[in-house]
Amino acid sequence: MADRDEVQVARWGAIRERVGTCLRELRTSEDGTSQARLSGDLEDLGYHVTQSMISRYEQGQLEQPLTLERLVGWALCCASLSAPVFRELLELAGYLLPWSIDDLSRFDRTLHQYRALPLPDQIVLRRKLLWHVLGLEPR
Amino acid sequence: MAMILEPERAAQLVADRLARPFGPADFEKDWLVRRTLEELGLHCEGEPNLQDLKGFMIASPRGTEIVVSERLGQDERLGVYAHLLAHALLEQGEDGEEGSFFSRLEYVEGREPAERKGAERKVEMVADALARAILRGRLDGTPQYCYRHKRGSAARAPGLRPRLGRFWLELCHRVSLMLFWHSPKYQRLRARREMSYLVRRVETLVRTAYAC
Repeated sequence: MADRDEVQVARWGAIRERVGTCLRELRTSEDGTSQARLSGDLEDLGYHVTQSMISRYEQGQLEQPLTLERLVGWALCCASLSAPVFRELLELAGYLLPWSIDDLSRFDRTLHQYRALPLPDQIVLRRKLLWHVLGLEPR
Repeated sequence: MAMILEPERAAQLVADRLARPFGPADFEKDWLVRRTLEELGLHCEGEPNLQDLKGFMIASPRGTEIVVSERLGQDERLGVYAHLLAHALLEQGEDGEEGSFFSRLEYVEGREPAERKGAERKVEMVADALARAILRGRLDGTPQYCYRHKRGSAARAPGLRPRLGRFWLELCHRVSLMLFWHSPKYQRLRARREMSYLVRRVETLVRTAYAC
């Protein structure tokens, strides 16, 4: 906490409960996914988010604000990039993605399409999609 | 944001290079196609971990990527490249317009989703025919409107006669495209060299007769 500004702490304190609610809605909307599975999916994408962190994020208990990368990874693993609650989440956190609703719906359609695939295929595809959404160069 | 993918250019260039007399030996075709795609800015890579997928394409304003399973043989890889290009071509709108995101998955035989709608099967059939044309290096063995979406960019002659000529050509191309989408028999007929020659002759004649 020492390296964070007072105003940043205050802002995060004001929004984190709502952020947590939105994150839970994202996870439980559509087909719904468990915290354990989401944690595993995020791990596969290169995130370090444990199941207990997911639980604490959803309860608005974490002190650190969520980064854009984590928000996008979360929504991507829940195949809910086009969900209204994800837009609300981005607005709350003050982030902007340069994609239209139609584009995000296309991403979600692709994500739904691959759900029937074996896990290794899903991981390869999901990683590529994540990097496209975030605008990172392919590695 | 505009998608960074020019499937028309890519398909045409790949077909042209595969069609060159004294062109690449069979074992070099895969390399040539990949190199051609990379020249056009499409990032291609092999992936050892794919199981049910032969490969996939993702295109967005961030770039275009083709990922192909490393388990495939050279012919299969060629087929995947051609099929992905064919689908990208079909995805384009009437005027060459496209959304800003496109993705396509190519499944290993027998691993496709069980429930495919009639429309999806039809797209697959047309993509098969287009992919074959690309690999044969003869895109002209398919209707022009399959692989050339931007029409009438050249200066158009004014007047009623040229307009009538353009109308006939447009009508013929549209009918050809419609038949291509609905009839495998027409696809085979259209793929013949004699048919391509005939189509070129008729078009030249109409353009001359109607000064269009």
